[in-house]
This record gives sequence, structure tokens and C-alpha cells, in this order.
Amino acid sequence: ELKKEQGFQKYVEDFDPYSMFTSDQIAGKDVRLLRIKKEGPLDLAVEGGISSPLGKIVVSAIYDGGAADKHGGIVKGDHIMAVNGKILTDATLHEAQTTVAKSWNSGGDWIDLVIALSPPKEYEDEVTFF
Amino acid sequence: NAQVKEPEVKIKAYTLEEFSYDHFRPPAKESMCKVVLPKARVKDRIWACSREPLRQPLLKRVSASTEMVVVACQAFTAIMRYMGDYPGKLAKSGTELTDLIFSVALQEDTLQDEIYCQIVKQLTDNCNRYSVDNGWQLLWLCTGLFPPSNALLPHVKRFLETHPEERLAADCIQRLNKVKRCGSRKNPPHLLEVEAIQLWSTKILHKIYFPNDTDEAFEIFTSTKAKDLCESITTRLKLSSSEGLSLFLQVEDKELPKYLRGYHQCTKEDAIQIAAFLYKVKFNDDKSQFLHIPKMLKDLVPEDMIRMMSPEEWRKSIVAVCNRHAGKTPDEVKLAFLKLLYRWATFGSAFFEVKQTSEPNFPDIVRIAINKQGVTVINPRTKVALVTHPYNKISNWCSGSTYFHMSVGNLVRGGKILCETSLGYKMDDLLTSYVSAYLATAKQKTARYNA
Repeated sequence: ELKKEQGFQKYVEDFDPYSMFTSDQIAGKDVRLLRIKKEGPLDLAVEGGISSPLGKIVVSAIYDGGAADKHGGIVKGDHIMAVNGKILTDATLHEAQTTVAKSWNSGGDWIDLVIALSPPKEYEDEVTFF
Repeated sequence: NAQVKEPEVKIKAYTLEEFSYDHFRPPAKESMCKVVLPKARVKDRIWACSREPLRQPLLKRVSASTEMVVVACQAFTAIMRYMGDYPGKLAKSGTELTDLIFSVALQEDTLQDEIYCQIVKQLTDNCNRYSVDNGWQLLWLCTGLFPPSNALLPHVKRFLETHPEERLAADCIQRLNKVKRCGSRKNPPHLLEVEAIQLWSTKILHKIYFPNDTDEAFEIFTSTKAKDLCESITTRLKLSSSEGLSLFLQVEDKELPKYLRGYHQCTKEDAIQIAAFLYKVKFNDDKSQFLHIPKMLKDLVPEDMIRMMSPEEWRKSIVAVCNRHAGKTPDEVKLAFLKLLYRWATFGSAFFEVKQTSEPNFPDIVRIAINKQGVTVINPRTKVALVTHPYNKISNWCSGSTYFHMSVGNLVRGGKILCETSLGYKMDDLLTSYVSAYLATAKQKTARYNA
């Protein structure tokens, strides 16, 4: 009930990333906790993984109208560091996908995603000339 | 004195009755129990038009898989809705229904015969003209997507042959032969195809745009491949070769000349020559606009070079060159322009601005040019090439929605490029095309050498 009175929160404000990660793991990163309400499908896709060139789990798409899209605060390119407390920095793509799916489909009204925000793009990422 | 009777003109319409004995599922149990009711007789004619949604697929083979059962019944409901036979719900516009009917069948071969049978069924003994017309449109679309199996094909052909009065029947037979020969398509009917056939037009013209801001309409067919269209464009434009040309689908992004974005390393003298050329293209020999040159500099000079001189100095230099070109034809000027650009190493490149994370000695933001020399990493500020990887040194590459990765050389001596970009799929595509073109030429050269 208290949460409702506080209104909508994109990121959980009192989250301390140092409670989960070493300072090396989060050096230079803007780490946030998202608490997304379980309503309909999450509609969030990931790519990368420890055995890929990227070496980390990254959001590859947020589909329109899904729970992730409705919640906001997470976009393509954000690095997913943990899901419901489980740290994914060394996870393969398959492990990460399974963890996200399980966390979404098992009990509880919320899913907790710890993400490192991708910095704003300071370059032209839209146009190609052939 | 027996009168010679005129031969019967009306050909008896062929049905799937015979095919149904071997391949359709047996009639549902309830219809056997209700045998006392007169309606039950109608129910047994499973191969003829019905106004009831299906609860089971028509084909035995499809009934075996529970997943397919659901999809097959949904497809039938969509067919009924497209034909206007589904009570209560109006047919939807666009490709919503045709997607429902054909999408899964394009992925699951087992469903393809089912879709044919469902459409032919709804066209058998159907006395509602509106519904029949729509059904024929579906059959026309279907015959452009995938062929029926060898077992079903003669029955569908016979059905088409016994409906010569239908305006799409002959075209359907042709499409059937073609799709059998050339193979199935990958995607359900495009909006253009659906809209065309709803207006009973079997001819579709598509506008193709060219870099010189002109466009022309070209006829396309359900089975037209991008390569075919490139060939007909090449012929129409009287080009000597279509090698390296391709179609490009532009959905959202807007196009601007690479040159004006300052992607090339060029001297001030070159910039003045080119500005004069661009002026000439726009205004030909009209000198009245000379006065306005300072205001149109961003359309004539690369954005990062405009501040090298004052607008007035630019104007004077550009006018001087324009006057030198005065007597030349537009084609002569165009050729002079291309000759100038051709000397640049970055000529004919596709450029990508990316954030690289693999090379600490390079700037974070780099420009990557992909052209016939290979993949070049450029410092976007100085426009100096930091490294060029020729195609014979590139060992591997891959991309995702957020990155592009490329390995060069071998494990002992080599490197890699990892960059963050949304355009990884385009870089991947281009690199794949260049490498396969490179391999093809290398092969040709070896063959010639050996001969």
C-alpha cells in the first residue's frame, strides 16, 4: 500500500549496487535496479553472453506494449547484470534467457532487473549511405 | 431422324471428393449419431463449402499433431472471414487475415495441402457470388506462395481446369506451374499483392527510385526475385552490367550525400571544384543564383569545411570555377566530378559511425568504411585511416542488434574489432557480399592462371 502512495518509480531509489557487485565490476557504469510488475508478457529480448564477442548480456529488443516497454527505463543496448538477485555477468546467453523466463513465470508480482544503462550515443547511428 | 444434340457446354466442376476418401479424416463422430437428422447428410460432404467453422483439420496427416490442429482451424476461420462467411465478424482489411491463413503454412510444409483443401472446399458448391469471388482471390494468392504436394496437385489442377469461367483460373494454373518449378516463397502475401488482387489486378507496378532523384515504375510478379528486377532495371537504363548493383529498401531513414557529411578526406581545392559542380547540377548556367551561394553553402560544401573560409570567399572561389565550366554539357561536368572523387581511397564506401571497445589506441568513436579495398577504420575528426583490413585477411565476423564483431588474421598475429552499433546487420550484410564477390574473383583468377 505504501508503494502505491509513493507513485510510479522507474528505478528503485535506495538501491546500492555495491551491495551486489565489487567496485571493479561496476567501475564507470550507471547501475540501476528496475522493479517491473508482472502483467502480460515481459517482451524483452537479450543477446551476447560470456562466450560471445560481446562478453556480456545486453538487451537486443524491447517490444512495443510489453511489460518492459510499459515500465520504461530500459532500452536496447542496456547491460543486464542480475535478475531477481542472480548475477548474470558470467552467464551464457542460454543461461540468461532461462533465468529471465523462469523469474518471469515463477511466483511473485515483480521481477527485479539490475542493469547498467548504456550511455547516450554521441554518434550517428541511424543513417547509412551505400 | 434422331436429332443430334448439342454437346454439353457446361463442364462438370471437379471436386475434392475422390481425394477426400484417402486423405481426409473420417467424419466427426457426432455426424454419425445425428444420422436421423436431415442436416447430417450435408455434414458428410466434408469436401464441399460449409458455413461452420472447422473443429478438426481436413487432412488426416494434419490431425495427428495437436499443435497443427489448432493452427489449421484458425486458418479456416480466417478463410471464412476473408470470404465474408463468418457470422458476426466483418472481414478485416490489410494483410491481417492473409497472414493468419498463410504464415504458418510457409513454415510448416504439412499445413500447405491443408490450406489448399480448405480453400477449394469453400469454392465447391458455394452459391454466394461474393464469397466465391473472395475465395478465388485466396486461391490466386496461394498459388503464388507454395505448390500442393504431388498427391494433391492433379486434383487442384483438375479443379482449376473445370472452372474456365472464373477469371483467375487460368492465371492460377500458370502460377501453380511456376511455383512448382521455382519453389516456395518465404513470406506471406505483401499488402501490395493483396490490394492488387482485391481490385482484380494481376499486374503490379512498383516504383523504383534512383540516386539522381528520378523514379520509374517496373512490373513485378509474385515470383519476381530481387536479381530479376535488377536485370530489368539494368536493361531499361541501358547499363552495361548489373554487377554490384542491388535494390535497397528504405523504410524510415532519410538519405543525405556522404560527401556533405564530411566523410571523405578532401582538400579545399577539391571542395571548391565540387561545390561548383553541385551548383551547376542545380542551376545549370543560370548565374542569377551566384549571389545566394553564401546562404546555400551547407548544400555545396562538406559541413566540417564550411568554416575554412568566409562565406564570401567561398562564393568568389566557386563562381570562378563555375565560369570555367560555362561551356560544358551536364554529362561532361558529371564525369569530371566522378574522376575527381575516384582518386579518393574512400570512394564507393558505405560509412558507419560506431563506438569501438576493442582497441585502446583508437578513439572511442570511429568511422568504419567498407569498400572494395576492405574494412577501414577512420578517425572521424582527422579523417585519417587508422587501419585497413583487406578482405583476404578477415577471418570471421558476426553481428547482433547492438554490436558488430570482426576478427582479422590468425590467433598468433591478428586482431579484432568489436563495436557497439545498431547497424551491425548492415555491416554484416555488406561484408558478406564483398567477401563472396572477392572469393568469386579470386577463383576466376586461379582458373585463368591454371588454364
